[in-house]
Amino acid sequence: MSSDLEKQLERALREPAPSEQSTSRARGAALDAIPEARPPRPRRRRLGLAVIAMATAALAITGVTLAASPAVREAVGIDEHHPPRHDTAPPPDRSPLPEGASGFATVVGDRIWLARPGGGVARLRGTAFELSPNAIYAAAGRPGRLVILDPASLRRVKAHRVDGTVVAVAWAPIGIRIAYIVRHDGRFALHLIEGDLSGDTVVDRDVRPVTPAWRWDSLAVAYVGGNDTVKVQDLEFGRTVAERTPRCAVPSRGPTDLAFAPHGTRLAVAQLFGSTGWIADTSGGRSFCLPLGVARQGPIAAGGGIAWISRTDLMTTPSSTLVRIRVGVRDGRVLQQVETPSGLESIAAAPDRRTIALALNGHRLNVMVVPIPAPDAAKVRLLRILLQTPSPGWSPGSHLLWR
Amino acid sequence: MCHSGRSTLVKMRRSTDAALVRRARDGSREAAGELFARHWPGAWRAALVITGRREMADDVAQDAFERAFAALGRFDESRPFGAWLHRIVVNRALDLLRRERRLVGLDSADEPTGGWRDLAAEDRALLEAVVALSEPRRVVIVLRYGLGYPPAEIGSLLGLPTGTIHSRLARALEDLRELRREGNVERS
Repeated sequence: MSSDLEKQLERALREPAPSEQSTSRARGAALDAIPEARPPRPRRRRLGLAVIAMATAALAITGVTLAASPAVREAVGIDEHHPPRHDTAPPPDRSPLPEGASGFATVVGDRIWLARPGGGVARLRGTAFELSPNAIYAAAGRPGRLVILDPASLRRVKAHRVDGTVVAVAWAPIGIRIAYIVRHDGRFALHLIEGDLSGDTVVDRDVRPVTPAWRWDSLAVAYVGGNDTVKVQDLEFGRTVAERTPRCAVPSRGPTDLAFAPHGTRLAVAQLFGSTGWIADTSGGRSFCLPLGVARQGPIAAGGGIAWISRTDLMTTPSSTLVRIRVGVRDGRVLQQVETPSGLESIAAAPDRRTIALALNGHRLNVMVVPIPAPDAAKVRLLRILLQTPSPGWSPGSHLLWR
Repeated sequence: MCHSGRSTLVKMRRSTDAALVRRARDGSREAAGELFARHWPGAWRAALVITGRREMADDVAQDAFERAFAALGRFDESRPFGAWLHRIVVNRALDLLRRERRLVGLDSADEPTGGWRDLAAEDRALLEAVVALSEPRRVVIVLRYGLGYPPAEIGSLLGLPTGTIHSRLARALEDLRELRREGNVERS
């Protein structure tokens, strides 16, 4: 016999109701998750061939769009095993994008998971991937090509032939210029090209395959030279300046991540060898090492181990720990450090710098959004799971893109 | 046309979960949508009470559905779909809470954000008390009184002996009575 408490529990526990928005979003995502049913096998091969021939003729007659052709699918690199879904009428609030984002992508090796504004996640393949500011366009690397895509439809907008394979792409903040790195005969070269893929120029024929970083005003781009020196190409004055690695960052090999501050001339550098991070003042000031705040320093995650969250503060990931550092003129100081589960591989800050995404690599890759904690707070609160992928295989160069 | 649509609707209303699963597996979005409509509110409520937060409940319940629907091909039709789904919800919710505790540290677990702000004060206080229970006790309370599973089924769902479920339920109810008494004392 139920007690009053049990009756009240039964009533109270059945009261709360999900919002229409979350219901609609979940419904869309759940229906999209159902594997497509296999089409029934044709009884006769001859009949199947006839149907294919008729369909091909009909497509040719009606002028099927170029985007549906295998050549373009190859150029774009859409994963044939997981073709992106094209719902005719997706519910408007089914977007998996985090709040404030125009685009979000997780790049793991040659696989790209792209959150689509209309809902769902598209899976693509590419040797490199980048979103333009506000995610109006995407750039994908393919062997022998740099391809510009429309992220919503995944259709190719334009392609540019390159002599080699594009391995890294960085879009300038003002959106009219792209820096990219091409591998050819075992060497890497840095190119600059206009956003419409015109005016391709080689900046440096001996660089490391580290994604270049643009300064906020798009007038300078930082990259790692072939001798592991950090260099800055100043587009305003047309000169290249090599930044001096601070003595504390010795051995001065292996910069793995570059990130310009949201304003000013400071450049954060993460370095795999020596497990350190340092700041270069690219206006000519002195460079200094960052205090990483953990007793036993481990490597900063390669590929997205640094995220600027304000003009003066950055977050980084030594030893799988989230550390917030205030960067001063001559040094930096640790404001906060939060333990995270092992497997923290990458972080990315939201464009509005209110939240960050964490990539946690375990038996799955989990990409989560957490608010940036206040400097005196000891906790990080999980807001959303953006993505979970099986068999992540996180590798150097894998990273998160948040535009 | 209209008649046909109505008969489809009637047919779906009569369908068992197993029949809907079969049709969803064959590619019927209507059947999958009906399965979703039947089980979403319960799954979401369970996620809400276990996690104590609306945003997390949205994510947990959605994730559970995505996993369940993605694995429909492997689902054993002789077993109830709801129980399978609810087990995924419970596991995902607990998994996320544990992961968050690793993120935030044990002493700084976040406070519930009032996922039941629209409820009557008495019910709200009771749900807040449920959220304050330990995870194992909270889960059995949700499964027993929120989703209506008998103790034996909860045991099978969680992989625990029925006696353990009875004992957790009894202790959870005792905790809740205690919490209510403390609340009354504080209020008076």
